[in-house]
Amino acid sequence: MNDILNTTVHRLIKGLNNKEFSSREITEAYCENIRRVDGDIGAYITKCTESACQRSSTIQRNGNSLFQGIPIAIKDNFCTKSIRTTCGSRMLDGHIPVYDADAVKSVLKEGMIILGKTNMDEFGMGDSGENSAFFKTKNPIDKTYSPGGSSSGSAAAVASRQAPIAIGSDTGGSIRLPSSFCGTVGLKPSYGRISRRGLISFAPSLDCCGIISKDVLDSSILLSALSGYHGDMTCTKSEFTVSSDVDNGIRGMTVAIPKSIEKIVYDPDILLVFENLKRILEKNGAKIIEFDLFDSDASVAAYYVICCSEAASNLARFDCIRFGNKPKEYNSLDEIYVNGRSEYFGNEVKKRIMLGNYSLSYGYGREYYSNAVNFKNKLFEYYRGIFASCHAIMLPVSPSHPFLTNEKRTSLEKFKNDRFNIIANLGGFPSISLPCGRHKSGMPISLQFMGNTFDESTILRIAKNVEGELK
Amino acid sequence: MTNKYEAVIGLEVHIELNTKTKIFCGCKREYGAPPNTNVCPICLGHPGALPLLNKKAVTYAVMAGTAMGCNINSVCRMARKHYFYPDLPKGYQISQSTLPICTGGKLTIHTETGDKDIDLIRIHIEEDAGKLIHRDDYTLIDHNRCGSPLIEIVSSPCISNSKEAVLYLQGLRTLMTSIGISTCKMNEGEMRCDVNVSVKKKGDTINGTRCEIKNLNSIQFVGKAIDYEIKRQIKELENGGVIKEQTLGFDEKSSACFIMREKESAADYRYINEPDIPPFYISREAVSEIKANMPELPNEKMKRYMAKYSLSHYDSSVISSNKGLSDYFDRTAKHTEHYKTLANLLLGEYKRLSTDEDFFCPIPVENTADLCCLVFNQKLNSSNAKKIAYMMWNEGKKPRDIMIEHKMEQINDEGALIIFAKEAIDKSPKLLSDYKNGKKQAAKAIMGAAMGKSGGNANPKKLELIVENLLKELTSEN
Repeated sequence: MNDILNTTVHRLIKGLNNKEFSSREITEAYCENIRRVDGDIGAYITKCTESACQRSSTIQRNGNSLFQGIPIAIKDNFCTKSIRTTCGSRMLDGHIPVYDADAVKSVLKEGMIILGKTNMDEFGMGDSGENSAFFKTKNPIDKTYSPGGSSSGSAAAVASRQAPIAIGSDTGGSIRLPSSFCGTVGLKPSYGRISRRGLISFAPSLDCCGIISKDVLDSSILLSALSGYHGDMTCTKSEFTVSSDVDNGIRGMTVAIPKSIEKIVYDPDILLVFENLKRILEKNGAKIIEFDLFDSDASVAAYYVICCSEAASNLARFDCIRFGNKPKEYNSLDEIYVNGRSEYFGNEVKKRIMLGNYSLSYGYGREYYSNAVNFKNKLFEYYRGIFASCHAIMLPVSPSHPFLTNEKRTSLEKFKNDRFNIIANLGGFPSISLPCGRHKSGMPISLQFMGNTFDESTILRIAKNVEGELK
Repeated sequence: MTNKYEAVIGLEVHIELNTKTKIFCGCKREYGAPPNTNVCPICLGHPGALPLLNKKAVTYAVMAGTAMGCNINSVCRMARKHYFYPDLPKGYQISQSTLPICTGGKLTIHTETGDKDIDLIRIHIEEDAGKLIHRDDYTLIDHNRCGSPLIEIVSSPCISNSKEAVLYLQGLRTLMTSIGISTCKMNEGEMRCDVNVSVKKKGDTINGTRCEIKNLNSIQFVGKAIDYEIKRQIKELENGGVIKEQTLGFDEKSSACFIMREKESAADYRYINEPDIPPFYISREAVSEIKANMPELPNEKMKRYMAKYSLSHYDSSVISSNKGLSDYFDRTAKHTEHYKTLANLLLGEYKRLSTDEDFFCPIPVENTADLCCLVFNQKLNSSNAKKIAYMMWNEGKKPRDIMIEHKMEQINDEGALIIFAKEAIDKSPKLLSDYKNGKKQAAKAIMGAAMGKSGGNANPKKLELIVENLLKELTSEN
């Protein structure tokens, strides 16, 4: 097997078991490619290639775990003990956590080898990678385009063969959107499926740990390994296992699609791909029904009020006193806070903190926050009602063509672009985005399958079926 | 206080719970540990760390609420209270806002004029902040205390004066220590009190502007601070001034309040429900079980002492309000029937000998019971009983042994007593003539001398009577 870099994780596992190649060969192939390619792509903030190669040469595959000896890339908002963790921010430029995130613990328990920490929009705030305090990750498919965000580095790493699989986080589409732009599979599990302990919080009622991979099977088997570990009270104790009927096809299933989608999807190529997928689903025996999206504009507004408010709350701990960088100059306690936070937070982060605090302050925008929370609950009930008559909902991921690296977009334009993705975040539903076609430009187009709470099995089954069809 | 005015006082009391570990992490709670040794990413507020709610803390809060007749909410939520301060690592305190564990309830205090119910508004749980240690040029932060579990008990503003406030605090302390959820050592910061004080003309329905007094670290100072503040506010109003809403501290040396800061506007803590801790449920079965397992409450104890042991109201209330005392009493009462004697002993000599705020006695209960027997049966006078108690406390011997060894057995025989009395009178002719001349207090001195003749072992009541009779006889002889 000479094309290790183009191989899925499940094929690598088979190869390791058959002794076609060793963990060392796999890891060295990826590390070599990182050296060759990452100066250009900028997927990694911190590379661990040396220790990775060292580890891979000592690891003995003993059948204790599936993933033993398989390398992986980790988004830089997951705490990795003794390995720099920056969240894409200057505030945490030199921060070295004293503990591993639960997701990282699971990865290490499996015997996986960490290749490095990937680039991201600062603290998860952004959809393009341009909000990283360090550098902008490029889209490996076409470097003039943004790779999407906030898990820009993880998606770019998998797409550019710098990692066979990666972990990311999804608060408002941060796994699914970059996966779409980079042509990878992006899985956002249910809220509460994978423990968030050690995932540096952006919006704790929305944040999800997730997986970016080459194919659907890879993400399903890694999901089993990551689920059920808990230092997190919002995480379910039950573990996820890949269902035995994941390959049984979709005959008799019902998939719901939004009515009048052409009114809210701006790009004709995406509409074509959507139509094509409808045909595939029907051809394979699924029934298609239509439903109304639940107040899409209000959903976007509610999402941003909630995530900004929670972000303002979570980022209050960055006071430059216990960890993180100290401001260069200060003459009082207040100045430590003000100077430090002004210096080390990027503009997008500052903007969202201000919006968030505004939305929580009495006499200012306090009603926005309580209305948003009420709306979130209503949205959840509404979609639970939809799921009573269907197995999954098919949605676009991006309503528009991937944007150029330095494309000028207003905040509102950026926010509205998330309208399909935020539904799964607000409702806590699992969703998997899957490459389904291409724009005329050659840039990839993904669609997503969103399922009922904790029903990853169904969306994986549908996605696998469609993926097989599209090969 | 001018009779025109009445004071409206409310207390917010924070009590540190006696759990082994902190409220959101497994770090130990340990007073006096070296700084920053009982810490972890959770209580230090490190990025990515998530809170794990300590079930014991919730149980203890339910116990506190049950002991005071509160309503225990079925659905509770934690909330984030945001403000920036160096002793608050996360930039927010995890507390409770709209769905606290307990609402309502009351604590009954026993004042000189009768019982009064102090109504409560709520009890909720929250985490403690760290400790700041100020030096000349810099400030150090010790995070050992950060994340310790607290309950906050908010009273309604129905307290009228400092005496009531003091009784309320003493009552809270007694109750919390007796149910075992805290040791309430105010000097170690285990119980802290903020006081809200305002005054208004008697009969006015609208309350005056209130001031908050913080950082009071003894019950006594709470009383003094309230007295000072009421006086100050009345004086201000009488002079035609206005009360400004202020936060005050109390200076112990001058017994006066000082301004900490002006309150321009109420702080906006930007409360949100804590997203990392889902709503938690307290079932009615859990509440019943907690109620059934509650230790005997002080008020119940007091009633028991009056009913079962026929102790006086006063004796019952004092013993029942101190866990150490009541424990010792209950254990000793198994070995003796002389309850009144026992109570006197405990509240007298034993209490004096115990230097702990929490009563502790090294004397085995059987020995104490024996001492009670000796006293009750007139084998020992009270002065010797005290001496023996002291010796038992420090030496661990049995009372009878001490009594025999030191020849302390009480002399009750009237014949013998008459001899002592006569000897004393004979030896002090001046005292006798003083007595005859109308100085009746000379009898006391003669009594003392007679007691001395007996080696301190005379039955004092009998001896007093005998001395009196003798003196009367001698006086009338003339």
